[in-house]
Amino acid sequence: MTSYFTITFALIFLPASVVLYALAPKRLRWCVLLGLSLLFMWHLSKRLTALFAASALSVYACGLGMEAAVTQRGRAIAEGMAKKDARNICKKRMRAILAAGIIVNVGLLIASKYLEFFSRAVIAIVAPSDDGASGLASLGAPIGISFYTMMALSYLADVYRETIPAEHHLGRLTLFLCFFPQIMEGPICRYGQTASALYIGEPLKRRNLYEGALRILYGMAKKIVVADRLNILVETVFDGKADYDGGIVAFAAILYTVQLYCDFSGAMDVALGMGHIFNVELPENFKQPFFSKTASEFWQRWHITLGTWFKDYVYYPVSLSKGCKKVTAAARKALGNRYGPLLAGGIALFCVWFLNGLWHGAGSQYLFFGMYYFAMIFAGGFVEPLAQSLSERYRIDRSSLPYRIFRTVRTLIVVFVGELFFRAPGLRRGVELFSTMVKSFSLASFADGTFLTLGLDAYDLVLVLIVFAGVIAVDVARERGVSLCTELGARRIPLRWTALVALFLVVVIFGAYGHGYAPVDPLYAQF
Amino acid sequence: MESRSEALKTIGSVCALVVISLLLLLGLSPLFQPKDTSKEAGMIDASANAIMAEPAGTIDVLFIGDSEAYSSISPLQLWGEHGITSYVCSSAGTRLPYANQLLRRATQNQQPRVVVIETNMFFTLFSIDDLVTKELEGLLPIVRFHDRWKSFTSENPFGASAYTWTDDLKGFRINATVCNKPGPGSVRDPRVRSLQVTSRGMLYLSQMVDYCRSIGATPVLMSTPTSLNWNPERQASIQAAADELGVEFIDLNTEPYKVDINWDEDTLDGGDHLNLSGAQKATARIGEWLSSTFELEDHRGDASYQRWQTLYESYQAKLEDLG
Repeated sequence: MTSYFTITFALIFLPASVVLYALAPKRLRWCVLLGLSLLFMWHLSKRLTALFAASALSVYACGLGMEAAVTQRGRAIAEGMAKKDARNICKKRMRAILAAGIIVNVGLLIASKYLEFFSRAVIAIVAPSDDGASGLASLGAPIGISFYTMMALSYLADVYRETIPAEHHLGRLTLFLCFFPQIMEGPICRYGQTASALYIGEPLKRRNLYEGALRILYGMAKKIVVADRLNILVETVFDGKADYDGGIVAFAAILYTVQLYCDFSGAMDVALGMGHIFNVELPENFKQPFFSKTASEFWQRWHITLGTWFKDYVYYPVSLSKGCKKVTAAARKALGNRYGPLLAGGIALFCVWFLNGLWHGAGSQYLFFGMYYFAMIFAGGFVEPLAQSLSERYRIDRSSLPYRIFRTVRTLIVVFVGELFFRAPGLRRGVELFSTMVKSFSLASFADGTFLTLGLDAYDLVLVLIVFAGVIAVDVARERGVSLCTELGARRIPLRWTALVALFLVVVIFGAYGHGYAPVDPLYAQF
Repeated sequence: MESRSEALKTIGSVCALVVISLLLLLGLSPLFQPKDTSKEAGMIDASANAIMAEPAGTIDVLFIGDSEAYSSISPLQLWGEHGITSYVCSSAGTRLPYANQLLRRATQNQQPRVVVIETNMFFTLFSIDDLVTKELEGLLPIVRFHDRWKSFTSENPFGASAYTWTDDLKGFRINATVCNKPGPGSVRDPRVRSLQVTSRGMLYLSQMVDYCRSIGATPVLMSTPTSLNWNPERQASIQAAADELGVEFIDLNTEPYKVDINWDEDTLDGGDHLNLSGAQKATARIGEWLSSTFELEDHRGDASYQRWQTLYESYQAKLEDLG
């Protein structure tokens, strides 16, 4: 059992979890979920689970510490201390505890994933001639460390901001951090979103079981039928040594974007479906991203919980900081009210995208990926007013269908190029592939059939096209506010069951598993 | 559940859905089952499974294993030297759960007197996932052959299978390449390659041994010559397993059964697998042992085995071509 997409998880672990949850008395259901979550983590991470335990304990202690500071503040005010003084003392204490919590948790994350990368970077700066230096080895990461660390930090920040009370129950906090449906790839939840539902232990509901199972199967179809199949071609082009023309590279970049979407959003469907079964509504992580009109909008629709995390805990704190406010004021004077704030906001935007790139992994391609989107979104802020005035001058209807299609296609091209660099094994290979795509773009490989020699035959490509068209159709319905899961859940049994069994058969018959296919771990589980 | 009746309704619905799904998978399985033993017909590991197309009751010795087996034992050489009819049922990276299935499939219409189980696969670890998957594939052929949707034709897809394709080399794979340097991925990492037969492995092994005895065959464990996959810890572990199961263990890497392999000339990948000349030496040794230990019938001259003689002559011609 290495992921949600293995037979033992789907046929043994998940059904057994549902049965155990249903059989347990209400007050012990959270214990069942916690036990299963820790078992899942132990199975995948073994001794590295200790790192998670250290994280959970530090977050728990820091939360209580900050709450104690607030209690002391109240007591001091009641005893007659000036409110301002009491607040300042409290703020100082809370800030110190918050910093300690951040240092411990980010430190564990760095030690697990980034130690080698950073030590190599330091060696490259200090001793640039020492090419053979390997740096310090990272500890190895427990499953989901990038995800639960973000959740831990958001919990600490929210307690610090006093938007949530500190959790007194260690088990409840631990369950919030490691709930098994979300531990592998998120979504990155806030304490206020899920902690209560996890603890209450609401009884299973037949409708939730149906809707959850349908969503799980839909996610499995996206991952196993489309994403895992496309992986064969994507690996051949990106990791192989053969040279392909620009047309093939562009084709592979598009297919990788489709693969990543089906893989990650498929895993989210499975996670949300499992959560729904246990009456825990996890936040959506995707909102039809391919319909975006700008790069900025794309990131409001793709990996939403990561984007909102960076917005709430990096973008706003940086842009509202004293230093940034000073820069904004100076920029307003120099560039005016339109472009001045954009320049100052760029500082916060840079921090967000630098961290976003780094969050994805310790590799130059990920840092480049972050900087690429920073440049696109930052430039978009400057270009937008210009585009507006030009469209007014030439009387272009910005709400017309052709213009909207133009913007969507333009955004998709930006996304495909970004994913090309993201997927490439290293920045150098990314630059090579991009250069090939631009300099030797040709459709000859499609005319002579070379594209059918990359591991996928015509049947595979037609199947991918059909299933992905189905995925887009579901997205169109969602864009119009229609949830097919909910709609089907309200229908009569024959239709509901037919949908469920049909999806199950699609996965079994058309899945890219078994003989001739290498198992593909969920792509975001490595981040 | 909110109430007892609600709970019962839900349990009933889930059970009904599971039963319907299973029945559908069972019902659709014949559609996906290959209609012949050939690769073109969609058969997976065609040469190993082509034993199902051999005339019933004609195979006296069955070899089961992974790539070490199909690169080390030549059934046609055994025929030429001893008149023994044998077959190698093996595929690359075979794990014990699959070997167990191959054994059962091979003995559907064969009654071998000896079943030789090659031991390299004992050390290929398999997860619970591998195990569950293989069991499911055994129960529901649609899971194993699901990808055959690509090769559906208008020809009666629900028709019964008629196995006709046979492997002329009886499971052996000729490879005359000489390479004394280990190829990429050939060097085993002792941290990930088990040195002991695991308890899970023993479970399958004892099932296979019991099954062999139940059909009247003598099970034997055999380690073919390999310089990369053999070491004293593994040998001791196999010997312990053989002692526990009460079966003989023939180690072609050590005396008294040692085969004189020249690791500069007799391997195709630096000691992982034998090449043709290595296989000829190993087959000669195992042939001597089989004929001296078991009273196996020499079928040469038996008119009903004429096909074996014809194939042997073609095999000899092929060897001459290879020089």
